[in-house]
Amino acid sequence: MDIFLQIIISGVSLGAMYAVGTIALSLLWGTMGMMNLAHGSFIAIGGYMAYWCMTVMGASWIFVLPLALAAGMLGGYLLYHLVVRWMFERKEFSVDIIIATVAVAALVENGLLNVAGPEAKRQPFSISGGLKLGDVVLPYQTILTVAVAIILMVIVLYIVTRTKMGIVIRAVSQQQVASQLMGVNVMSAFAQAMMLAGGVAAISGVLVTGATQLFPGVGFDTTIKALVICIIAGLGNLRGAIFMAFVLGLFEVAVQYIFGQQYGFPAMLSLVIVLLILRPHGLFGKETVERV
Amino acid sequence: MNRSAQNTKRKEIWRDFWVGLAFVAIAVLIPVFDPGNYILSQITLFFIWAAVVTQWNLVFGVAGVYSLAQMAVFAIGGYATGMMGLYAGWNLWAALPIGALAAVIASFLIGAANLRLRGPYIAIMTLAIAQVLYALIVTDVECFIYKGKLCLNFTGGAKGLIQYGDFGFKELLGFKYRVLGDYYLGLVLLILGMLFALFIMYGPLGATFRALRDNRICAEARGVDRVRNQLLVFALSGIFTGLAGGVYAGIQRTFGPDVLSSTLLLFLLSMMVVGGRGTKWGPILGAGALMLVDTILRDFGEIRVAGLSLIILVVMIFLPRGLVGLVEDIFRWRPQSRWDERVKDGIARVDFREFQRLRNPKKHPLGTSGNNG
Repeated sequence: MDIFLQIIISGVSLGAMYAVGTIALSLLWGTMGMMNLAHGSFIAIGGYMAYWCMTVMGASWIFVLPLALAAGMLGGYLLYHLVVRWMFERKEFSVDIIIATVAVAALVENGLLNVAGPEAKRQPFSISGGLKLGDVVLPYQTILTVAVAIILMVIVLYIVTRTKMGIVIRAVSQQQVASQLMGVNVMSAFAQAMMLAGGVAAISGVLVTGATQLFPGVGFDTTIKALVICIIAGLGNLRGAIFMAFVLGLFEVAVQYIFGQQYGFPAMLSLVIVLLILRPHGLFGKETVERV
Repeated sequence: MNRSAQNTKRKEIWRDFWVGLAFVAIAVLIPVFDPGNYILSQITLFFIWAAVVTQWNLVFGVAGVYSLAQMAVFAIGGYATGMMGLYAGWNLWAALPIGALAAVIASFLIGAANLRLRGPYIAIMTLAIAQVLYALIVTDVECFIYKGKLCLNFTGGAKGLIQYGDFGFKELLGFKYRVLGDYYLGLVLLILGMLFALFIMYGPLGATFRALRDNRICAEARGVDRVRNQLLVFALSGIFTGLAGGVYAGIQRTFGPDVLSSTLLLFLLSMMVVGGRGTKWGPILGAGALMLVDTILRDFGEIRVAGLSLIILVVMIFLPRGLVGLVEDIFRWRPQSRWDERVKDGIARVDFREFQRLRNPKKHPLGTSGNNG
């Protein structure tokens, strides 16, 4: 029974990390149709901001999240105006942007490597200790991550569905020319979407690196896993992605417990491939009709 | 196909023939000038990467299936070759076809796993497959056989496979000329791979792949079997990718999981992108350009990756068709006629006589008299 509980707790911790990572990815895919492989750089930037703020500057933890948010938003703004903007009109945007953002990710990783050094650091924005449930311990960090994931999801959903900014972003993503004719500033709408996603990704980076360690390439694995989760949930479906993050986190931990540490991710991926063969649009994705 | 289209195609084949001949002639003659072992080994590496990228281009550029798992196929080819040498004790020459076969099977399976996905989904899925392969190899710590007291893992783990022999150029040519053996082996690999790719691109298969890429639904409506063709392009591209993996393993004499690193993937991807996706000579041109840049940047080790990624970004933004597109634009550029300029300025009146006069001022110096009725 204890082992069972332990698996559930570890699975929820892992799932919380995935969930927090999928929000920004889902947002960008749902609004701009863009797969952001540079998501890992935002995670790393958020983590390094926290490290810089608390360890180097010695400031209070209160400043960490606003700082990460600001850095992520700045990163999103720059990414849009330096890279994304110039390829948006192309027919093959969805693939071109993958190549371009892989390059951006490598660039940021290399930059962090040169500025901050290759060694793994401990990121100070984390809570030690945990809640005792019988013989197993529920770490406070997990509770914090789950809470922040849910809060971020609610905020992002609120912004996208209820505020004027979100309506503009969705309108542009659905009918770019029509919304331009209605007087919407298309470029600014996309820049806003990218800033929102960048800020959310950087905050998730603070949480993810708090539970593991901090090194320049920290975000890459998380990005791949989060993207796979987004695909299985149906890209752009925020609630489905969060749900699947927890399911797959539990599955991965269970496999790790039963078969050994290294088979977690391969088993999860095989499951995803099988599910996608059965349902190519994801579990919660809508089937779209293609017109010629 | 009508006659003019046939003529154009024939012209194109001749052009490709001369370009290829010039390339081979230069490549054969380079060692005559004795540029030193370092340069020769860099060029050998260029041959191998170019061979991989030409095959990748078949999948990614010609068939439009955005697979990022080509390095995984390459790794499987190399590992299979090395393992046959290490565990079965085969000569590496004999192990090469086994490596190619393993790569074809792996590539086929990857293609099959992605059959129902499309576009960017495939990119993410294949990237994840490559990542899984890397994780499985790096975490492989169980002993498979013992060599003396040394414990060897099945895949060689994070250190990689070693001591599986090589192609025997040292015994055949002597220590000094071993590099030359590697060099010409790489060249032969590239020539064969390129011929193979050209045959596919000119043949009916290439036309089928392009049709599926450009408009999947129309192609399917005309009776093109997408499933069969996707499996076919993956399997075909696996042949020379696997051979390249085996040749790389034999030349480097060690084969480790670093061939699956994201840096190398980015490097090869940028070769294809910089050269021009879906073009015939783009992969080789891009591989040459990137190897040149890489050799220059090697002295600045810490910014090498940053330099490469900046090049990719600049090419993606300013030259979406790659270097081949740039060369084409330069060759096709001609001074615009006054008619075109006026059309562009929006002041053109649709006036046939005016048009003829501007197009051909000698024949119709003052408008026309004979054609105004």
